[in-house]
Amino acid sequence: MNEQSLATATRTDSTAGAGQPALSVRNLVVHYGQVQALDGISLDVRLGEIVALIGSNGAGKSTTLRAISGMVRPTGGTIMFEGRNVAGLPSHRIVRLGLVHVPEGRQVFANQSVRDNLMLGAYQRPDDRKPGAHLLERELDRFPVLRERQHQLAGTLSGGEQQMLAISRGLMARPKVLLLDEPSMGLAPLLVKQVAETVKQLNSEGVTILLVEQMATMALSVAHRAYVIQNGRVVVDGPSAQVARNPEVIRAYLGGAATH
Amino acid sequence: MSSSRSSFWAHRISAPVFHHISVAGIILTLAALVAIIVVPITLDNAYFMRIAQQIAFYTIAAIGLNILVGYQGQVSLGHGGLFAIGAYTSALLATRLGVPVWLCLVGGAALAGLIGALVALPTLRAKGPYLAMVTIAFSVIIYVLAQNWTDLTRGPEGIKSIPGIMVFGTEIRQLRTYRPFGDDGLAIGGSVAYFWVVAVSALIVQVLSIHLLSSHWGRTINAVRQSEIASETIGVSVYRWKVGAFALSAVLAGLAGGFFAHQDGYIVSDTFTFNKSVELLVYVILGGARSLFGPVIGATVLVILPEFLKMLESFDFMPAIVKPLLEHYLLLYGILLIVFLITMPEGMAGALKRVPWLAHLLPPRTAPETRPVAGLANSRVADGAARVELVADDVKMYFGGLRAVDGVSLTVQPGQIHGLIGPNGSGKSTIVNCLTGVYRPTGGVVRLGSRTMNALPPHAIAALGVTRTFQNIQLFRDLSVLENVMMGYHLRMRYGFFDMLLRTRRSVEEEERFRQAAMDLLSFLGLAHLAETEAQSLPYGLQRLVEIARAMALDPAVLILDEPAAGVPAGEIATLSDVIRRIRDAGVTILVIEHHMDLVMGISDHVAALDYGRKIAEGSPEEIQANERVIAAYLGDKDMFALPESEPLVEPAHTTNGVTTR
Repeated sequence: MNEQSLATATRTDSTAGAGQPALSVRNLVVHYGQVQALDGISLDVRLGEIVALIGSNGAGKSTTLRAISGMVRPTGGTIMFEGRNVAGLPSHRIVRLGLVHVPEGRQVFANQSVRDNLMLGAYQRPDDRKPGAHLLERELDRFPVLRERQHQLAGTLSGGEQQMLAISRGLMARPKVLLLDEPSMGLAPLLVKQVAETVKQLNSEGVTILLVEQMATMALSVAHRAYVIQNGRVVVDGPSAQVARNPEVIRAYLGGAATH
Repeated sequence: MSSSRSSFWAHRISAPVFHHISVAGIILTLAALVAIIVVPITLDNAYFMRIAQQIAFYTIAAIGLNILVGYQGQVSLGHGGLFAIGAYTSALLATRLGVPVWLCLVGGAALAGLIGALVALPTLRAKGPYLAMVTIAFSVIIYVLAQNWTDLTRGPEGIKSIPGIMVFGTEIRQLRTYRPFGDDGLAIGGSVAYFWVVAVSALIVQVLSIHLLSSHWGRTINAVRQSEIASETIGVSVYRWKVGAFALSAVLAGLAGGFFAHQDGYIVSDTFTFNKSVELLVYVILGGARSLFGPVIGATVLVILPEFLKMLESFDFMPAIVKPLLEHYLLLYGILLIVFLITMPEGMAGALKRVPWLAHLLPPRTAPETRPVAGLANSRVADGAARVELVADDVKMYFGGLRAVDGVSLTVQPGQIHGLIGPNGSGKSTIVNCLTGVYRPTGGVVRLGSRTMNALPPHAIAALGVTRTFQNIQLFRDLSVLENVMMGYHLRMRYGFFDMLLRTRRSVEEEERFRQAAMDLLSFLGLAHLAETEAQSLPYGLQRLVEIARAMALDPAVLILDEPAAGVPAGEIATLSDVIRRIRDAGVTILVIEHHMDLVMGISDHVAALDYGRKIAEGSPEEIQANERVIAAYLGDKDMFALPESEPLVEPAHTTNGVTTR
């Protein structure tokens, strides 16, 4: 019952649409000035899935996410979302379509209350004149610590709490696909475990998730499928269990055989 | 242009001072001198003469302000105040103390320079808008003092009867008008003579400023503008240079003020409002900031323009409809300024440079010859000073509660490439900043051989032979590749300010020696063909190499490379590896911080890995790649996260990348 209402609220249907491609990226290329960051990334996210995008620092994970959510303009490739190419659209329009980015490093509005942060998350919903009180209630139920601290300034929360807030703020926009960028960054191992549980929980409620992580073991423990990227390219992809056993993954992080 | 002609113009004259000046330069200077002598005689009009005198002293002030605003990159809205200080000092010395006018002018310039330095000392630590705010406040304070300290300045009433310059025992304004070509002919009187004095002074200032700005002095203030952090690491004391540039520009503002005071022999406080500061800045920016001739062009055009607009009204041929508009000539002047600014963003000098035949007249830049170089000329390697280890012993760096580096010990063996890796936020860059003096470590010791470096500023550590490159390339973007490398010799250049001002033979010869040394270094690194290319126009990978070349000009014993592969395209990694190896083989010790594992594992003799501010492993590249703790630091703890046992929710999507490995 509860699950049903959530699915409606997030406008995803965990049963009927499962397996349908929600997001389809082909040959994505991004440059920062002269520097090429992505060299033709292709990936798919299907409705109801958690897909992990892993790789070492500077491999291009966050850039992929930023290109999908319109924060950087791709120099090539297509990003198909619900049958239309969203590559190059400004990010505020992409949010309206239901692709919601939870940025790296949380980026909460530090000088505003937890409650205001959540309300701001609903800012872009055009069909919601009164930013749903029920959405807010749902988020405060989801993370009781946020209810406890709803009148506190977001900047006074701990790192783990800020991550919860950032995810909740993203959910306030009722995403069809949630783009999570490095939720484990800067968190103690125990909190990382908690974030992993949250991601699984959200997915069981019907939220489709594209998870960018440097911490491969965490991402592979929650994702259905994974893509490993290195130097702006996908080098390994497949079901998480298979990817986890692939020695190429370690090489993608620590380099090939040392040669002098 | 034929080569024989251009070689004549480019022919250079030898002399102990003003050494190695091209024929074109000499002819240009003589032409300016002739114009200064002839033009006022033909004008024969006291009103025009005043305008010409104004152009001359505003040119002096604008040249000074251009050094600060254009070349050094600090915006001052306080130079009107310094102009006032020069004017009042000179006027008061002459009227109250009866000091000879020549000395009054020097005194005004000196006091303006001193006060300029005093204003600069505290404020140049701040940047951007703060400096502008402080200088605005300064010019307002000077105006208020001029208005209200009436015992000294006589305020709006003014200081009257300021003596003029003495020429052959006669005061210049009292000179009898001399008409060499009969009673109706050309006239040479006191105001013409005063113009000559001011304009020749302006010409001298112009020539000396060209010497200075085209020497190492100019190169250095350009460099400081473009990257303070890189300037520090090659041994430039940035703060001193900024204060120095401010003081020099203040001296010239004060000198201009002095010439103003003795122009009519009468100054009132109302002249020195904040507007004066804005005017001076407008001359520089519309004339062409960071251009040798921008100030004189700007002052000439913008002093004449309002007078010209005012005059238009009196012409009969002007249609009646325009006349009411001309009554508000200052409004028109303002509109024209805006139009200039939009159409000529680089100022009038910048627009002139685009005229093709004018651009041809500029002497071509020639790089020194490339010659085959056997190896790296590095004095520290040659005298064995490079054979010392770089050591971080139990280094701690805390930022408040954050332990960015928490007791790390590293020993970088001489002559080796030492790799330093670690996930984001593991403390790698913090260690580098401790080793190079950017941070002072909270605890522990950093030393080079037996020399402790804990408390040394970056430029002092650079002087010891530890030099670095940056994660975000810190090149001097507007300078050529050769000039970037020459900046690396900053600490070894022995000639001083006056050598450069006067272009002594010594300064020119030493400059040539360093140009050749820079060229040899570029040859060694395989970059000689890029010597005359502007650094910012190079592709990213080559910019990295230029940054390394500049660091090598410091003759480092230890070279620290902070993520040299960042942003370098895959195809250029091999070149980069090759260059780094070649530097090691020449005897230089290298510490490389890198995320690009193929590079760091490929070139390092020894690798250390950090995580959460601590060293977790050390060993050969192979050992590090197989080390469980390193793998866990990068990929996460295997025991903590169970792998999914269930099959995926949906069938795997089709492989779309063609590189699937199973």
